[in-house]
Amino acid sequence: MKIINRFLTLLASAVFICVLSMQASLAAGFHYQLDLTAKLVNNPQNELTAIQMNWIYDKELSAILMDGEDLSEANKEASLEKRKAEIFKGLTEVKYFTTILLNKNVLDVGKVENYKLRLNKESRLEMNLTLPLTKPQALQGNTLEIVVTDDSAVGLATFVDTSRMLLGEQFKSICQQPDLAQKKLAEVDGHAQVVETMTINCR
Amino acid sequence: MKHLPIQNLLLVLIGLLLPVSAWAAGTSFFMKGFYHPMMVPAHIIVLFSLGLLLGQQGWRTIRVVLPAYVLVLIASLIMTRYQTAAWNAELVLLPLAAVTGLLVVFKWNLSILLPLVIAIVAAVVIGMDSTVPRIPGLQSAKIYSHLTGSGVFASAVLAIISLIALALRGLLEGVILRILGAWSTAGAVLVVTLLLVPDVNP
Amino acid sequence: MISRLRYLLIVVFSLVVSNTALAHTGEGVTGGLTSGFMHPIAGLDHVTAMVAVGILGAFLGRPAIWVLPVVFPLVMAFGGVLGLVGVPIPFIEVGIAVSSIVLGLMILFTLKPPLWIAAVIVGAFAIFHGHAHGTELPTAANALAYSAGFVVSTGLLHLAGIGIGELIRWPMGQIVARAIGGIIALAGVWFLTG
Repeated sequence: MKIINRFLTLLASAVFICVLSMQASLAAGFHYQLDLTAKLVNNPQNELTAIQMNWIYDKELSAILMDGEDLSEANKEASLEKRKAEIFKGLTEVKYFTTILLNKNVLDVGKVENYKLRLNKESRLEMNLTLPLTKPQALQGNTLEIVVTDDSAVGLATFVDTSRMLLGEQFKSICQQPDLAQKKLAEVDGHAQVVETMTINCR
Repeated sequence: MKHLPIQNLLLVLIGLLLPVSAWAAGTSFFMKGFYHPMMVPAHIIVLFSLGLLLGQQGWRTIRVVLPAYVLVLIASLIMTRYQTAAWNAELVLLPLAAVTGLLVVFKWNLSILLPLVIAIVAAVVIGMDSTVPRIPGLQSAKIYSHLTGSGVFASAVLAIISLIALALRGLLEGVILRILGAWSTAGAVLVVTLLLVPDVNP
Repeated sequence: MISRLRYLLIVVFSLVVSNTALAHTGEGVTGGLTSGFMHPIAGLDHVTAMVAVGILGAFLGRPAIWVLPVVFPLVMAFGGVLGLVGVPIPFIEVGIAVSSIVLGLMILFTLKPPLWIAAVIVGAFAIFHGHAHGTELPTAANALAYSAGFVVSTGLLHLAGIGIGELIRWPMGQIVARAIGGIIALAGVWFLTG
């Protein structure tokens, strides 16, 4: 009787462990997507001074970040104001997922002073900010690259397509249409790191 | 009390975990954290080997090592908020699992010290390897919820496997445990080789 | 009786609960785990050898009952390492098929060699099995999940073999176990010639 019970313990345990491991499929690792629209900002000397960014968070991430907040019409703005600083701080800590290069040299960026957070009609968070360069840069005769990636591979920071890269009137006349390249790098904890490079050739 | 009724303890733990596992995951960060160790098989294999060892060594060892493991795990999980691990967790956990599996195969009467050391190393590495997915702007409550879920899972799995192994240690003179120990060693050795041999590493 | 019912309840509940999960296979960790778990089961040549090792161990009695199922995976891991680093071993599939034939015949004819000889035979065949698994690992979706899966399933197959071997306590059980040995040997011939 004892041996039978022990065999049954073994069987139940083996089944339990197999089941539990299969249940993991219901909870695969978390992923999110941030869609970026960027616009080049120039000064009167037609030098690049900043990049205006509009980050749109996916629905699930938006819900997670606003979880527990009162999003009724009356209190939505107050809730967004409350969460704005922390969500922005998070984006700052990852350097806005962005690296800016001019002729393959990394450009230094300054501190973002103004940013806005809103919830759009699709209940997706939108973070608008202007990322200033520490030094204005002439684009004429140069190639600008904006590289976006999440090196933890949890998120996908993406331009989606080239229409999300706005040159502005001044740079449209001296630069070619932007070109977008996407590359998959090595896996990090089972997630593939994706790097997107938006190239603006002004040669 | 001489020792707790093992099978009742087991049933309680299984009973608690089954409804949790049946719940649609993804609804909370606790659940995401709960399933996180499942996505890192190196954690599972070392917990499996360690659980076999603890069960094989008996209740005297389990009642000391398991609480120590839980405490160190909690501390390591909290540490992930301040530090990232410099080591490659798989290259620590897999050899540890291989060695632990061999100890199960040989079925020596060990002092509490060796299983304790193995458990502490496992707790540190598993804990530090259980960082919350980096999500800009994520609330602290959710972060700690995720860490708690990971801690609960990693503790419960070790406890359950230890208790199962304890119940089975006398069956066919512990053959089952020794076979499972050998297989965990085999699995760990194969994957460590895969990680170390660059040409075949995908 | 009540204890057995409790355990059966857990098993049934687990199976019911797992239904939805069973649909989700094929990707990442779960895919690796499932394909690893299924690999020894889907490969009959592996199934027969694993079960045969368990039965043979039970036939030879203590300590072979644990020595053989322990020697097998440890030496198999070595064979796997050889496969991973690219050391060629000729006639792998032949070796795997012959393992079923030899082990099956040993059971059928209740051959009881000394433990060290049985261990050497089992170990030798384990290298072939290990080499085959090792060459498959790099292409697995998630190598460690794959290994974890096939560790669980092959361990269970060994235990099934031991369970069958334990039937020899009864006269009818001896016949059944030997018959299974015969089937395993025949299967080995089929693998070799098919």
